[in-house]
Amino acid sequence: MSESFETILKHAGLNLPIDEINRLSPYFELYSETLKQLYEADLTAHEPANQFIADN
Amino acid sequence: MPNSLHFMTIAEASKLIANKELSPVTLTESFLERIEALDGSLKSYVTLLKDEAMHEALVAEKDINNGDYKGPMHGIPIGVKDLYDTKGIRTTGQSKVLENRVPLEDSTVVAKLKSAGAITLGKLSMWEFALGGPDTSIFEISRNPWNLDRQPGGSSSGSGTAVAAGLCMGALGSDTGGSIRIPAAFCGIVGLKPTYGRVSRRGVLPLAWSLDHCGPMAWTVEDTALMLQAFAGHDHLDKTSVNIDVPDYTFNLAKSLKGLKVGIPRHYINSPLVGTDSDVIDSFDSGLALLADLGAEIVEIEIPSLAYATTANTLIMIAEAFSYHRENLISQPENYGDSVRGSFILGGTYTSGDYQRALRARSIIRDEFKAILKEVDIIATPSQSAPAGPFNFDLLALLMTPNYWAPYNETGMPAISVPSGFSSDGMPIGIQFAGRPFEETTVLNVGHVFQTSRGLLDNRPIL
Repeated sequence: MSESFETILKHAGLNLPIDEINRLSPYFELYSETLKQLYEADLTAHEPANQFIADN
Repeated sequence: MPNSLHFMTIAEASKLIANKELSPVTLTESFLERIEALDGSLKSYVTLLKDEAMHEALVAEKDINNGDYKGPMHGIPIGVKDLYDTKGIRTTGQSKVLENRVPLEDSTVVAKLKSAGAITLGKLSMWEFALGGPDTSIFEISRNPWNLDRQPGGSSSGSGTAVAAGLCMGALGSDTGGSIRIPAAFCGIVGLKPTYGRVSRRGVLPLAWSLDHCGPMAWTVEDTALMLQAFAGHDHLDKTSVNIDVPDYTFNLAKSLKGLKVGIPRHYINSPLVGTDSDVIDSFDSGLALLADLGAEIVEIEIPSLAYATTANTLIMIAEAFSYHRENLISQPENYGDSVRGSFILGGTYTSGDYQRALRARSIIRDEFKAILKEVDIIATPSQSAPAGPFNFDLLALLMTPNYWAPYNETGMPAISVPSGFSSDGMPIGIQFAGRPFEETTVLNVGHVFQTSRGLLDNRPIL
């Protein structure tokens, strides 16, 4: 997991020291696990609208 | 005249000021003396504007004596969260990254409050960049006046502390994922997050552009209404500001709740994922009983998307925050506190597909709330899952724990936290009321009637 985390960080332009990667790795795993909720939910029919308020 | 000037409400003080029975100078001096006496341990102010406040008080007094009374905020001493730009006064977001930043202009909200005659006592402590948790950055973190070993909630921590402790009559907060409502609930005061677009965010340091809201914090619902009245409204310099008439927020405050439909998402409140404390549930249930006694109709509602509302809000928040902070995270990471740096970095690990997914989730959340608000007038929940705890909490884990605040940042609906009771160990507990977009009047009405009937108005922390 930490290798994948490191790859994603580099893609984001972040070159973190190893102790920072080790500190954040457990949270990356937690966040990745939580993210699954959004991929398991049926969201396909919904446009990612930005107009939260206007049509109310 | 009440003995304790610092525990008067804005509504009480403004009537006395308007009648020239209370001097803004005397009132401001009283607050500055109390800050001097207590804030050494409470740490709510990061910049005290003693000379400026006294000058503003003298001007207010002169104007009022000359017949130029500007309204209920005239001569009222307030505090300003240290992310609102203040002309010529350091505004840091409580971060070393902006340690020496001095804005050239006031934010729109601060400018409007100044025009209304409010007196700025100083800039208030907050969690770094409106997200960072217990880390100490350039300033210390404020303490909870009900128990100095407990945290006051954040990110508008100094605002919660200062209002509860009687170190200002009202304060400005900001709310991207609960940052007005959390410290309001933890400190036993009122915090209102208005509708997205209702209050200008120009000149306010952003956390996440699509979720950020500015709003008032005060001891009473009526006082938040008076504050909101002074700074709500369209601002052509803020592209997210909405051009809709501003109503009189105090007109219907005391209206009967008879027939008001209050929806309760009991499935979420009882969810083990939220893990709501039993004292909080007891306080909430007795609050509902009071609402029923006051004539409201309590109905159970189902909002399935609440299951992922916190995840979507946190993803959007830290992804947007990362895009704002990316350059500084690369060039000066050491100037961020550990918690805020970690959360922003994690925001940078999401893909565009993830962000898109969260926006689609937000769309469903909005649609479900919109449908429910055709059936009920107000949605009520606890304001928090647990009373204020110690300072050593894990912000990064907490951000992914389901909560009661996120849905209203995602939908932009107005939401208010009002004191509802106390835990068995004496910490405040709040109840949250949310309403239809731009119907702050309904939210303020239910909040005011609840607060004035609940019997907690005289419960102040002993300091």
